[in-house]
Amino acid sequence: MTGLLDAEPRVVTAGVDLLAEALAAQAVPAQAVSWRPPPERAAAALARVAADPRRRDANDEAVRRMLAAGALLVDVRPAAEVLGLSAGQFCHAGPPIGWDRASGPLRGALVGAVLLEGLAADPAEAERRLESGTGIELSPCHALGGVGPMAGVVSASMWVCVLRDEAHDRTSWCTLNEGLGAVLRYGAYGPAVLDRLRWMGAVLGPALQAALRARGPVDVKAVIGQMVQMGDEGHNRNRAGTLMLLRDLLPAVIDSGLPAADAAAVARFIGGNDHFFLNLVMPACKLATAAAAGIPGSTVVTAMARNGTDFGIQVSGTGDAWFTAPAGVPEGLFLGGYGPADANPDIGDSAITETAGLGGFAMAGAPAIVRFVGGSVPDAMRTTQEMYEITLAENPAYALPVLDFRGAPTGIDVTRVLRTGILPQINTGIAGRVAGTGQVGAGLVKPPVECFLAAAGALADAVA
Amino acid sequence: MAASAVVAPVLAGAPRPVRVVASTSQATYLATGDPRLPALCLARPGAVRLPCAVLVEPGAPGPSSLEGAAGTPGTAGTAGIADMARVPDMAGTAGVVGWGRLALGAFTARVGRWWRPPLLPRLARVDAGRLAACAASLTARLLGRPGCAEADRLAAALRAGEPPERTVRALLGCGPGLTPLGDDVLAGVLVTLRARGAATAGPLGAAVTALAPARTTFVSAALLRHADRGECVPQLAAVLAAVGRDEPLDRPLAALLNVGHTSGCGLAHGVAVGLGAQP
Amino acid sequence: MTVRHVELRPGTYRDSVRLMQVSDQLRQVPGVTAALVAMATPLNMDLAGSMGFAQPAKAAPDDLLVALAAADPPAVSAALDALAALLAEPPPQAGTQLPGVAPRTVGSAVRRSGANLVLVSTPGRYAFLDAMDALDAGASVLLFSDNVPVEQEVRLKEVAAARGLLVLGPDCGTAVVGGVGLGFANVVRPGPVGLVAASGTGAQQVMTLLDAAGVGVSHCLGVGGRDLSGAVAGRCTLAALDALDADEATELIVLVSKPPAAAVAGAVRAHAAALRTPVVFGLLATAAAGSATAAGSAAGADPAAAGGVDLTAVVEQVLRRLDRPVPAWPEWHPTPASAPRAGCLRGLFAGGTLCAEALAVAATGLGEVRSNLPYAPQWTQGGGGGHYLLDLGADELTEGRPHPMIDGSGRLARLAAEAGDATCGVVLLDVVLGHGAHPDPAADLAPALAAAREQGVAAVVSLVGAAGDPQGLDGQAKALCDAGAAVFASNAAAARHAVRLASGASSARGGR
Repeated sequence: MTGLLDAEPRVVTAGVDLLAEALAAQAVPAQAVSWRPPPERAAAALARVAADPRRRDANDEAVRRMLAAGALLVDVRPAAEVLGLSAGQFCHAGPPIGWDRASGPLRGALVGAVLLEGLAADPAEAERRLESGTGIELSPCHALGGVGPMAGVVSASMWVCVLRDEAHDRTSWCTLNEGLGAVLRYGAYGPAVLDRLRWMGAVLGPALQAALRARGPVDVKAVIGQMVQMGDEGHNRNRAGTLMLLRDLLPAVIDSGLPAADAAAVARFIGGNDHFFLNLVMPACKLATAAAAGIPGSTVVTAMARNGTDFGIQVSGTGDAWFTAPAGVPEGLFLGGYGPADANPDIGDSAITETAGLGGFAMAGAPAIVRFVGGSVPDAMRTTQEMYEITLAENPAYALPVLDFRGAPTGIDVTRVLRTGILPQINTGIAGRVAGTGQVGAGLVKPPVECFLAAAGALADAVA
Repeated sequence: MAASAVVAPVLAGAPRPVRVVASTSQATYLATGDPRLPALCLARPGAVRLPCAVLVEPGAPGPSSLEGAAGTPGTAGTAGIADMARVPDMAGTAGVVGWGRLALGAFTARVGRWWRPPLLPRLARVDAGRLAACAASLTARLLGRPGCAEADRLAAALRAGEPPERTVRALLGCGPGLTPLGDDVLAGVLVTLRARGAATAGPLGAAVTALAPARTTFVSAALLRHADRGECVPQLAAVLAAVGRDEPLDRPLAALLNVGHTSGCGLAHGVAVGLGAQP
Repeated sequence: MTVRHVELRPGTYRDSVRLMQVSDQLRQVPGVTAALVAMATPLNMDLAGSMGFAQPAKAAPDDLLVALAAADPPAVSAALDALAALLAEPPPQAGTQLPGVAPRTVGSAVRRSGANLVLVSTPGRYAFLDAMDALDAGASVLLFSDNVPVEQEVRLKEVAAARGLLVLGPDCGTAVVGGVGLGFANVVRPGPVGLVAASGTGAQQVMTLLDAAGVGVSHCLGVGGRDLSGAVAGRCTLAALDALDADEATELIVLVSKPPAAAVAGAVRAHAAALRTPVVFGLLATAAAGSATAAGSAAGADPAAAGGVDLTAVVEQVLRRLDRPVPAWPEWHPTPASAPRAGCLRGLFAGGTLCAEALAVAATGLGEVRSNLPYAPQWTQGGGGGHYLLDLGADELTEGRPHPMIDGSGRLARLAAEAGDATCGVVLLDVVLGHGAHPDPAADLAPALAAAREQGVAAVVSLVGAAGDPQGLDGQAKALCDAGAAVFASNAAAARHAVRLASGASSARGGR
């Protein structure tokens, strides 16, 4: 027996206030739960999942693996080699989608990719090809084990960074970040965009490859651990991470025998793009969540992703199944003369950062972000603390000093999301609706609750 | 408010006046005028649980419309919520206690629960050799800690069969603080001798009862009264229970040493002396 | 002219007891003629409809319904302002939570506070989630909620057993753990008797009688009304017996319940026989079983374990086992003693077990006594006169209102009706004191009792309370007595007195 009878009980109350009042009259301290009911339509599914004898151990295992996963940047290579992409095959961010439902930025990025691969002579022809679908294959980056920010379009000749989780023998990848303004990932496809992409394939990629192969892998997980103690959260704010990466790679870049002008251009490119490191944080997070995937009975979320039209999640216990619902439009602060009418629905695989405990979940470590996404510093603190209510673990590798080095809230539990009504908080850039506009602002967005309702139903069905 | 069942005669009996005699950051002590139960200790639930403790607790939350006079519908249980912050701590503040209620200045509370102080473990049947071994083990762990001199003095006195009044005079009131170290050692030995059912407990206890009021602090004298009846803090009972069940003493001893500044230490010394003494 | 205001507020949740209090407060606002603030369950929507409010379409049980009727629009505004203040979040508890975000799940709260016991009183269809969360976090559960499906109860108790934890309930309203009263519990002294109870009011009667006899209670573990059924097979009862057996402070265990399913009874007796601590079985006879049969079947293997017919007899047996004197159980009689008009016995009970106990006594003394309890000759509303005893806490009689232990207004209405019914001569009521009960039930009942006395009806009250209860036992007894009721600490004694009055035995007329 547990010793419950040996001394006065230490009490938690959930429900009727009357019970808590009687305890106070007896000088028994009690912690009250701020309880509210889950959505009525989820009650039956939640009960079945709660009764699943596999659930507790499955979740423990999922979380253990997620926290144990490492992330080493080992190489930079063309997508054709890493993903096996051939002509006409393209990846995109978010759950599966076709041209007909795709939003402006995704369409623009696909047009640009078609042009880059030489599959069409001009944008109009590219559009016709994409619309007809002949010789065109689209799949989510996630399906090929990687991630892409914003439109996230990847084609054969684009260079990608390659990361390794040695603990679980897994590889992930992501494109190289182009920078701000008119860029492919925001749906721009003009000559300058394509020229830049070609330069990245001809100079930047090979330079990074040579540097890495010469000096050995960069421990991306370790860099993330440091950057969250320097005001970055890994989604919307990556400045410190970018600079630390540059510090690590630059000597090898210079030593690699590149012409000085090229080395300088590489340094200038990376150093001038505060978001460069995002494209390394994302695959690092993908490695962590992928390690936790596919455990029967586990209710841990392994992916959150948007394609500009739909928001989709994947859950460990239901494998590759996507649970989708219409993506919302982020709310926040807009650049220049832009406003909410200019915003595209939420887009990108970058919500993988929140899935692994960074981004919006680590906002308490990056309070300066409120200047860009809106809200106040106390809001940033409260957001992280709320995320602890829906996650299963705290990641000691990503410790937040302002919370006394408490680990970032990691391992989103579908059942806790539904029971508490707290949806994961995502910090994100806002893309312009019209292809090629670029970034119009930054803000906060949450997944639709329908994704979690659908996931709970599927988890309940999967209970033996 | 939750009161020790030991002090039920005072709290549940006919109303009587009480007076604040001492207060610390953790507790407020009241004089009751009852010679057998001289003191009440108003304290938070997390504080050291003295046998005369009455627990008060920061008020529970409730929509403000529910706080009000007892008898308003819906206030069952809220009448009598106590608040440590409202307990007057000025020495001399007067109040009344009785019929399950306490009124002290503007602070009022009702007993919502009676808690039971730890049962005194029965050590009468425990093998003398084991008691001696435990005594030696405790003494060894207490070397260098405050109370050694007092413990040695007491142990010697018991061995030599010194008249209890002389022993008690030498130890009572020795040391600073609300409960002087010598008193703590005496309390520890009294509880232990009672647990053993030792014949020496009676005369020693009688001497302490007679001499303490004049020779030591009010609070300490009250606690010695309780000790003479085998009523003590749970941490001390836990050490004796471990002895009785032949379980390791490390954890209970560590917990006892954490009590107060040096009180726990003094009590532990008393236990060691009591275990090693001739019954 | 009446102005009506009806709205639905999605995503706003308060527990039903709180909302009832809010509705009451709104009715006090000057100019308000009707107010209903409740979660928009079908039952409450019907209630709103019957009060004359138009029902909004698409109401979901997750929505808060606000329905107000007032003399004019300013009164409606005032009521809405009052409502906003009442619904405002209470201030955070000082010292019991970290600054920042309050825990939103049971698991989160347990991990933060290191708790080992969770009191779950969330609605029955969600309570399983909270209870399982508690077990996952390593804490035992007191499951106050009812309407928890039996398969969920079984699953919880299986998991608890595997982890060395306890699930007390569901539908467990009374417990004492480590000296702390939980739910509806009395303030009794600590002592050597441990209770395992499948009945809340039954446990309260035993506890209060023990306290009156100077014997205290170590713990009272409520196992829930269904634990001893075939489906649940006494899982919690067995675990509770083990826990009390291991507890040093418990010298004797009392098991209080209706007779369990036969197979379960055997297993429980066998388990009890193997314990170090003696166990006294307090298995109530049902009226249908008859007192002789019940006592006989109980006496089968072990006469010492035979349950008395009533709880008072069980307590007396416990006292004898502990070598303690059996006192004369307290009674308070009105002066002058009332001689009732001729008429039948009518019982209006808030506690189901107390009703069942009284029913067994009454059936022995009066022949056919009907009831809404399942194993008695069935009483129906408007089904004619005769003797009947009603359990007003049963679902069909609470009519959507809170349980009579919380809201006594339904019983007052019935009491008035019985007083006005010429075929009624004696009314029998239970009044239960302690934590969670009405702060002054005697004052609540006195006017109705006095009115009944005026009309020649004799009133008998069983007052289940301890000297330490917040309501004040003596004061309550005297107030009830002054209103004309004969008051008894023993429910069985009260029932026997009521039977004497109703059968017109001349010895009853002289009073005591």
